Amino acid sequence: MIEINTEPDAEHFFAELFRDHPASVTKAATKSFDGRPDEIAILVSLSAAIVPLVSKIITELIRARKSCIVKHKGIEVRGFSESSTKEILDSLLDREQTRKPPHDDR
Amino acid sequence: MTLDEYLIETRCLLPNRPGPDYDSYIEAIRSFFPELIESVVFKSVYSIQRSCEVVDLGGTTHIVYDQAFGQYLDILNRIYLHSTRPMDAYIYAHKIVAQLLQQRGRLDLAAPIGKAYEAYVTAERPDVGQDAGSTWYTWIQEHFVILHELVHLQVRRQSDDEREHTWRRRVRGLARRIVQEIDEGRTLERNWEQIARDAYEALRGVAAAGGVSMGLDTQAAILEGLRANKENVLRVLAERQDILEEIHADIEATRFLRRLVIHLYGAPYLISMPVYVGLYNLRFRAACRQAVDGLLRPTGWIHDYVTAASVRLLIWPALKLAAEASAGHDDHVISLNREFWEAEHEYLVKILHVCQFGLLRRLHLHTMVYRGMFLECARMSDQAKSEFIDSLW
Repeated sequence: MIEINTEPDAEHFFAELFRDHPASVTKAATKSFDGRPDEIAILVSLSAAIVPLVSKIITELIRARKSCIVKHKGIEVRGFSESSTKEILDSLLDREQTRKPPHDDR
Repeated sequence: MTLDEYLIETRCLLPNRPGPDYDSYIEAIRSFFPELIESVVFKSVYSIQRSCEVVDLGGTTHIVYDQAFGQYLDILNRIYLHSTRPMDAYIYAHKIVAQLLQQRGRLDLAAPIGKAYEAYVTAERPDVGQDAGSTWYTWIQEHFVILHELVHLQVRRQSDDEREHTWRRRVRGLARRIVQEIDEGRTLERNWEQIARDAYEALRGVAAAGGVSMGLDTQAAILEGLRANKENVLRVLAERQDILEEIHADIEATRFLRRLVIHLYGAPYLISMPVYVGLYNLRFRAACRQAVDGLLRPTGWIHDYVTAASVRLLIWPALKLAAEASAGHDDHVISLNREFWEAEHEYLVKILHVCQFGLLRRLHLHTMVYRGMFLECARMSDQAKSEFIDSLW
C-alpha cells in the first residue's frame, strides 16, 4: 500500500480511482500538529491492474504543479517525475508482493 | 480501513516504550472538558515520524499522539534546563536532522549525519539528566499541544458567524494592538546585540569542542536574522487571518490547562514558562524541518514552517502580560516580562542559534564537512543505513 499526500483541493484527480477501484483506495484528511498545511492522504493498495491509473494520476498532479508526496510505510519515495512514475510504482509493487506471505494451500 | 490499519500503513511504528500513560491524560481532559473531546477518538503511538496528527477517517475524527514527539520535547527541555554547554543542543540537532532525512527517503544523507551524531556522542558524552523540573515542563507541553488541537476541532464545529462573534473579533483586536506595541518597541524590548554576541560565543564554544567552525559573518547574520524575523512576524500577523485561529487556540489551550492543573494539583503551578519553552521547542523543530526541505529542494518553493511558530512565540508573552495586567498584577507583570526575556535569551543562545547557525543554515555544506562519514556510508546498503538510523533511537 502506498500513501499519496496532496492538497485538499486536488481530490478530484482521484475520482476515477474511487469510482473504478473503491475497494483499493481510502481517503483520510490529516492535519499535523507541527504547522504543515492540511493535507489529504489517499491510501492505495497497489496491484498490477491499478498501477497504470495511479501512475496517470501522479503524473497529472505533477503537471498541474500540485503538491504530491508518495510514501511507503511512512517513508517518502523520491524520484517521481512525469517519465519515471510507472517504473517506481512497478518496483514498489514488486516490493509489496515479495513482502506478502505465500498462499496457504491447505 | 481502521485507524490501526491506517497507522501501520503510514508510519514506521516502534515497539512501545515505558512512558507516560497518555490514556490517563485524555481521561483527565475528557472528564473535565467533555464538550472539548466529544466524538474524538484518541490514540497514542510511538513512531519514527515523531508526528502528532488529527486524522479524519471513515467519518470519525482521531487524534494521534506520538510518544516520540513527547520524547523530543523532553530532551529539549532537559537541554534547556540543565545543559551547561552549547554542544549538547548542537549534537542533538544532528539526530533530528538525520531522522528527518530518513523520513524524506534520503538515506544517503541521513546516514552520514547520523554517523556524525554518533561520533559527537562518543566524544562528548552529553549528560542532561531528567528531573522533576524537566518532567513537569514536558507534562505541561504535551497537554498544551493536545488541548491546542482540541480547540481547533472545536472551531471546526462552529459556523463562520459563531467564530466571528465568540473569538475572532476579540483576537483580531488583540493582535492589532500587540502588533502596534511590538512595532513601537513598548512590549518586547529586545537586546538583539546581546543575543547575537552571546550566540556567537556559544558557537565558538561548539567550534572549540570539535564542531563546525563559523564564518566571520555569523554575529552579523544572527543579528540580521533576529531583525528580519521580527519584521516577517509583524507582517504575517497583520496580513494572515489563519494565524488568528492559532492564537485563539493558544489562549484557550492555556486557559483549559490552567483549570486542569488547578483541578489536579489544587493550584495553578508553573504553567506559562513551560508553555513558552514548548513554543520554542516547536520553533526549533520547524527550523530543522525547513532546513531539510531547503536541502532537498534548493531551488523550489518550500513550506514556511518557521513564521507561524515565530508569531506564536512573539505574541505569547504579550498575551500573558495582557492577561496579568488586566488582572491588576502590575508588579508581577514586570518580573514576568524579565523572566520571558531571560528565557528567550537562554533558548536562543543555548539551543536555537547554535543549531541554526552551526548546522541548519549551512546544511548543504555538511556533505563536505562530514566527507569521511559520507565515504564510509557510501559502502553501506540502504538496509544497513536504515538499520543504523533506527539504532540511534
